[in-house]
Amino acid sequence: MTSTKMLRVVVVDDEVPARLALMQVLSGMADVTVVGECQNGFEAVKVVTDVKPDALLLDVQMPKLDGFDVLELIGAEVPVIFVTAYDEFAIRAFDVHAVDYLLKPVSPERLQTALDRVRERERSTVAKPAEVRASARRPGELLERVVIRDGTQVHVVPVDRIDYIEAQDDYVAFRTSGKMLLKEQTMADVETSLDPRRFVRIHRSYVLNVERLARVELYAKDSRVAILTDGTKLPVSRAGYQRLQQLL
Amino acid sequence: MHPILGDQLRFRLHLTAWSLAGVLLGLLVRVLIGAPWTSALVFSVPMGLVAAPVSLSAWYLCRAMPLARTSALRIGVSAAGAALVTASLWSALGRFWWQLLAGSGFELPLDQMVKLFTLLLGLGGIGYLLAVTVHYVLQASEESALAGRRALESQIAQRDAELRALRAQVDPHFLFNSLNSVIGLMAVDRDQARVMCLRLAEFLRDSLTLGSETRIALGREAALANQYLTVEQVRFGPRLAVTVHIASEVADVAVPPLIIQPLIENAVRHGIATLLDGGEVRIEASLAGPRVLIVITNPYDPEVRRRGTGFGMDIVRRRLAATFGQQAALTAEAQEGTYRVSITIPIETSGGGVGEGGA
Repeated sequence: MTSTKMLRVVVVDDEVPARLALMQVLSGMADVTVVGECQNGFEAVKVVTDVKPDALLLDVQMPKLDGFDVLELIGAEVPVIFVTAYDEFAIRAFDVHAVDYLLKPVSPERLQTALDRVRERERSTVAKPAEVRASARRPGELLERVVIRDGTQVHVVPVDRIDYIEAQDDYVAFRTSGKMLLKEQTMADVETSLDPRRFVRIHRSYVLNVERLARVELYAKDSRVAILTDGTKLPVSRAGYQRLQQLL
Repeated sequence: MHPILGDQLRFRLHLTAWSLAGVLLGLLVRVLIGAPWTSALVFSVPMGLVAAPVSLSAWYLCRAMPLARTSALRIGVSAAGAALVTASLWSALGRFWWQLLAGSGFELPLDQMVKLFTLLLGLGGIGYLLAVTVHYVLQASEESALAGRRALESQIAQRDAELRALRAQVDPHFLFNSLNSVIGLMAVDRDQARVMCLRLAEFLRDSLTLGSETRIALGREAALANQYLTVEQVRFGPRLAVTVHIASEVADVAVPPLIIQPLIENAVRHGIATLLDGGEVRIEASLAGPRVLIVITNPYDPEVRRRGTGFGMDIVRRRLAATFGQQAALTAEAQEGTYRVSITIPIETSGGGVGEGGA
């Protein structure tokens, strides 16, 4: 452990005493500096973007954006160590490639081990955080809301406010309240995570919220367009039209 | 316990039946032997009454040979044997009685003693066998009543056990989080860390002591909930506000201990903790006709689907049902960001709060 570089850490917890407990242990570690202290997930996403820390000590149960939401948004950039009083999220934390999972109250030794793991992960190229799966949802669970990062800002969009989703290269764009919000995700992943009774893949590049559909018009031979309630026109493929008919 | 001797009504019925048997014997004596009415009845009614206690002995035969565990042949032979012996003794007694009465001036012919003896033997035997049958019937009904009572008792015991299991236990995560807060506070504010430890100890001690009571005063219950929330306030800081208002006329009403505790835990965990700025947990209780209305309200984030609140609520609902049956009710409603749980509890008349009433 000689000449290890300084590890820059951010502490995220909505409870002041819980942050104090971690800060106190961290301040006693020679090779660690705390570069940020956040009281909710929104702040965490902002700090990660701004200061690019080496590790995130992240509480799971927080208002609006919980630890898993935060990991979904920034997990590809920063190694995450979950810190919680609940042991029931451990398996899920493992699934989303959290570096470690600590139970409150955290002992200094256990925290040290977790930070050592961050260093190990940094050295090896095997398990880079880039592997982190974008979605932190449980298998088989349908999304109720989508969290989308827009620079240092985070949008929490309930699924019923999504008009449609459009594929754009490596991203998908969620159209909601007149805005297009980009998220790094695959179309297939989006399609499986949404309720199939409300969202239909009408085209290779489009998933539509059926509640927004006004009508479907024949555009040319074998080619149709979906007209949405706000007048937007989206292409409908032949297979997409069949799927739409099955649902309606 | 003897099924007839142990029951006044049955004993009276038994005596009546044997008196009637006595009258029947008198009738037979009048018809078959030709004795005049008065003499026949003076002879026969006491004979019937004497048979009453004798026939009670059939019980011992029934008890020695339970119907379900003895062969019919064995019962038949034993009953017939016992009937013969008993009827013989009774007939001998009858003969002696007849001669005694005849000697005392009653008009009872002494020339038909064989006929009398046969009559008494036959009637006595039939009577005894009837008594055996009645005792078996009584035994069977007694056994089924016993089985019913046992089933009921075991049902009650089961409900008791369930109640004990349901007795609200403090959420262990509350402890972990509280200890973590103490650790955090130790470095920056030793006084507050000490206060937190004391509050925590106080709440734990009280919840253990009161938890073992069957009923506590509502005022005490609310004070306990307040103690819990005071500990949580250290964790959540200004995000958690608390208001407790218990109308004075319901403060002494007896409630099962820790009945609202799971609801308070829910209010914090699924309410306050989901909001960036937190909010207020309100505990209110007032008189509503013949009942007490307890209302717990808290703000929550409507965009977060409430997960796992069902369990705590279910425990409260089941405890209420087990304690008050249909008399108590629990309703929950979520409206415009406010979650409200209402409980109505009947006011029990038997002595108000148990033990330390005042909060």
